[in-house]
Amino acid sequence: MKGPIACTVTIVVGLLILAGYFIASPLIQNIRFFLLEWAIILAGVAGIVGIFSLLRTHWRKVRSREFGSLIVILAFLATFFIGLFLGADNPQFQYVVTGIQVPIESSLMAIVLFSLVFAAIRLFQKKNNLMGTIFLISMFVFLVTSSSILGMAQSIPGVGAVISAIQTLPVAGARGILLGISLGGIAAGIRILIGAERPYIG
Amino acid sequence: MSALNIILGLFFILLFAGLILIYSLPRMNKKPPILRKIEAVEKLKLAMGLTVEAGTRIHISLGNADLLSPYNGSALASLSVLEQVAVISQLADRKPIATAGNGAVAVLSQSVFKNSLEGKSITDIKESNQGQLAGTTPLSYTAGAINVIRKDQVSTNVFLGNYGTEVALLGQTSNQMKAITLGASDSLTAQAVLFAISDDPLIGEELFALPAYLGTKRIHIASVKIQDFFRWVLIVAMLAGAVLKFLGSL
Amino acid sequence: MPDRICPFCGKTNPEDAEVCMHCQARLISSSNPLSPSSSEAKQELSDWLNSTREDAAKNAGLPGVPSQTASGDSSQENTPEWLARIRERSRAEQEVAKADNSLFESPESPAPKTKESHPSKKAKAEEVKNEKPEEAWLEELRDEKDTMAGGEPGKADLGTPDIPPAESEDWLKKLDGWQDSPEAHPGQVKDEHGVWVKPFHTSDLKELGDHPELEAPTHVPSKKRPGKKEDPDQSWLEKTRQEAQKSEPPASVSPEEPIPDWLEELESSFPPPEPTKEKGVEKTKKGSGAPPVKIPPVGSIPTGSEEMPNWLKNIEPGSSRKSKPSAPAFIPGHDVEPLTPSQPLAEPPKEKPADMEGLAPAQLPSWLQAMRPVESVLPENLPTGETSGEKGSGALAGLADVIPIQEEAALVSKTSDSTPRLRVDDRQKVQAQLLESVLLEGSKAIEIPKPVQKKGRSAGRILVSLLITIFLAIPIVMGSNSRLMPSPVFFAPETVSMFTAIQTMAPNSRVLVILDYQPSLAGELQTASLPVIEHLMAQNAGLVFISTTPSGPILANTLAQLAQTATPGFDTNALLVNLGYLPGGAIGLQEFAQQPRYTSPITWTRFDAWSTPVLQAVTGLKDFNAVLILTESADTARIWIEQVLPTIPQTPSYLVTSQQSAALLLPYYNSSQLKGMISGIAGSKMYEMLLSKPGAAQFLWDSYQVGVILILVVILFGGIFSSILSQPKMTAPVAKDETP
Repeated sequence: MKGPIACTVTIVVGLLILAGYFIASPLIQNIRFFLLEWAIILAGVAGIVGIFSLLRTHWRKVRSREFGSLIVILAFLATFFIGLFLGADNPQFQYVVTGIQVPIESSLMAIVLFSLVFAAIRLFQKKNNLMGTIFLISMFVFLVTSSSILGMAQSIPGVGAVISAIQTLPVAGARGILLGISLGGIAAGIRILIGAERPYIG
Repeated sequence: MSALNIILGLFFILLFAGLILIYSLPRMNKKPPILRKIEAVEKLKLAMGLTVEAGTRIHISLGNADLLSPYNGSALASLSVLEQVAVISQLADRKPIATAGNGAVAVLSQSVFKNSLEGKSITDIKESNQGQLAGTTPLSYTAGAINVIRKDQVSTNVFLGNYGTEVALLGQTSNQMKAITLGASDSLTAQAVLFAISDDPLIGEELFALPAYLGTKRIHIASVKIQDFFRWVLIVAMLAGAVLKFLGSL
Repeated sequence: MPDRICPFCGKTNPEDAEVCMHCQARLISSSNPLSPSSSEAKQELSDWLNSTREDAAKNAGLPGVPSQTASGDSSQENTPEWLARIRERSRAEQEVAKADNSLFESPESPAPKTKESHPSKKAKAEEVKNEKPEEAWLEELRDEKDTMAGGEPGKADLGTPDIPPAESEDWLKKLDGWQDSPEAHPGQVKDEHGVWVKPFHTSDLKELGDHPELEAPTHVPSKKRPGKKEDPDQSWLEKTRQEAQKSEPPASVSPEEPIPDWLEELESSFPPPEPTKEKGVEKTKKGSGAPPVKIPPVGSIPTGSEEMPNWLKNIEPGSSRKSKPSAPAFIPGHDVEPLTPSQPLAEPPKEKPADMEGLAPAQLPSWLQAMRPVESVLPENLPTGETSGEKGSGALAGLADVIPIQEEAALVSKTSDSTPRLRVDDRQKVQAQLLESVLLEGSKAIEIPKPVQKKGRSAGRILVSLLITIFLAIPIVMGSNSRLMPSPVFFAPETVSMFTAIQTMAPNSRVLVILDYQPSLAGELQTASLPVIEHLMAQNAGLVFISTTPSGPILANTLAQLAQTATPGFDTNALLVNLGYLPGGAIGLQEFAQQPRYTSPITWTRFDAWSTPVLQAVTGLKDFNAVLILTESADTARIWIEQVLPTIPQTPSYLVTSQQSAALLLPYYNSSQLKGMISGIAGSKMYEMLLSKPGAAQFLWDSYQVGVILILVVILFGGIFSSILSQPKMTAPVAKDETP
């Protein structure tokens, strides 16, 4: 019984929102905004559900003697209660973001730099074919042209135009990929709209 | 939005949906579909079998896509692939794990796992942490997913969804653990990184074609056919527009 | 034309059929022997039979029918070999038939009764015989049938045969011969009692022991056993006779029952045999007028008291029960020992039974030998001969050596799950043991070993990481005095246009600043956007911050504080509003674009946002003078540019993004959807140079440039080095070890 009802609600709501995007009727627009607000609230609730699921996973790990998860749970609880009591605009609470989250994530992004460098080095071994060679050559070219190393050369009229033309090349390929991705996204959305795919039934 | 845009948009959506429905009918699918061979898909199928035989896990990473964002298509396609993988791998000694960077996608992944058990004579469904929210930001999700890759006996990592450059960390960890690494993303940045990191990357819209390759549902095959059809329509339209503009400028 | 009736199965066939359609027996050629009107056929048949009889008589010395003249002589001279064999066989059969009892024995009411009670019948039969000899036997048969049925003779409507008694006798003999021939019993052999059974190797049976009821019928060669004559037709007859002596006729079977139609047809097709003179036996003679043969009901055949022929006396009642048992392949109801690879298989005993010493055991092929069941299959307690003796009740009452259903049914038990022993050679035993060990090992859980990382690889990683870190840190340590890398000479046009647009912005303009980058890239974006914010603050523009990430409001506050430090004259209370976090992603953006007051009513400090001096006159996005997007992701920027900005086409839009997304977002500037763009540290450096106000970008410029060059070098040389190391080593071919 749950399946047909969920499927029906999905199809009706999806069609209403799609109609509201194209049709400028005030009634449909109002219904669309109403439904979108519900969707935003539900997305927030789903986020809370996901956070509780994460806490439960870490709690299970604590019970299986993985004490690193205990630190995670304690840090979560501390941040939650400090923000609840002090407020988001409190400078001490802001330090949680600026002093802990930003440095940690920035460090991880720095590690991404090294990971990319090592991946590029291993690319010589892994993909020793035409595509791999083209990838490496293009990597060098765009790294040079976009880093202003050739800043002085860009002032030369001919060179500047060539560099500008080279910098537009990835855009052409990217646009083609983005078009295909858009079509795939439309197909995935339509499958949900017509009820062919029902990941929400469980 | 102008009236022409509205009409064109509605016509496009209705035509797309109608063609998918028509091509998913049994009458239109009498012959088996001919899909071009994708090495990554073949490797994925092989990896799933090897993982089940070896008694290890498959890790499906669903990315950071939000269902309310325009990139929810990749999340939905990833959930379709997850369903196929879940059906195959649920009988394994170690159940597959899905990690997501968004709460709604994590909840849906749990629903997909639960749905894959229906109708099967599987009594042990207690492993409820198969669908996890690993983190709320991309880097925190990466840190949580790295933890899963390192500690949960994962031998195959499949990265599907919306990522940034942080997917390089996931791929590096997967390579360090000697796991099979496959990736597909709708983000151009992530595709470039996955090309260098993973064993067999999927470029562009191949992510959305994965359900047709892994499963046998007519709707997925019809979707792939219609995508190809409209791709050619767009190519012709762009070429025609460029030619006309060029001729107009003369 | 009347149909032809098959003499063997009794079914009708077309007139012109030569072979029966049902049993494929050869019909009498050219004419129906039972047809009374085919005199020509009778004549042909008579000639054939006469010739056969003549030959047989000549050979046997018996008085025969006057032979033919020249044709007969010539036929003798030109007799083919096959015909000679047939004649010889028929001669032999004649001898047997002479010593044969009547095929149809009379019931308890013997012939005298028929003679006495039906004298008219006898006279009539004699009369019929005198007039039509060929119809005599048929008439006798008919009479007998009447007697059995309790009716008067002569009322049975049987077809009159065309074959004379002598001919019928030969014909019957031929029928007997055919019945006894191997062609009639494909795949079977005749046992010592003349019963056709499927062949079974006697050497297997020797292992079973003395089980009389399990007799394996062996293929008796053509040489007859001494003292015993093969007569299959009489063996069962004897058995039934004996059983009838022991048992009473079943109640369900009464002599008064009418004869079924199939039996009538059978009677009509089988002429009665030559009667004998033995007492107690139905005497049927040609033309003797004896009553026809009466087929007694089952179990009612009298035995024992009558005088039996010699050959019949030699057949001992129940002798089959005393013979060696025949062992089946598998006996239900008896457990067998399970097959284990370690147990040696028992070899069959090689001794022969006493009465089989004269026979050489047959040589079985190897594959059949392997399939032979051994003694472990057989149960220890086989049912004895008494259990398979005469049936006491039921439909098979009085018959001996039938399948003992009742007794052995009780012995049927659940078969064991173990498989019978098979012949397994050493190689197969080894393979079975190997498989068993593999299966046992498979059930054990194997701990998955952790991957071992190569030591060399970690050293290389550490080395490269240290190298990059040191080279990046040197300019930072040196500070702003470093002049390692030259400043950019060429300014990007998108950066210049942005600078120009902000420079010419009217005072007290309202600028919507959308801060949408992650904390991981806060370093780059903050560095890139700081000079723009400072420039806007210097122009006294009202700044309204909003973010679609949860940490965005905090990052916006930090940015504003840093920018205010460089612009002390900026009134943050009047000109700065932070609307906080906007949930819903793209949907939230669309809603904010259409209904900003409704979507974000308060600031992140929980004050009324729309009562501040900056937002008092704002009712929608169109009331803002500019929109500035700060994001590192090309996807987020595209959402803003494609979803929100089209709603405010008159409002100029600017973008500050990371270097990684610059190439993808540049087309938006080229298509005039964006009025200006700053990409990464390089764009920020240019902007600072345009402002003539060095800032964080100046501080990081040298480090940035050195890092880019270093990474290019590391990738190039490291890749070449690793590809050389990964090549397979060329080793010298190993010389073959030549040992004497």
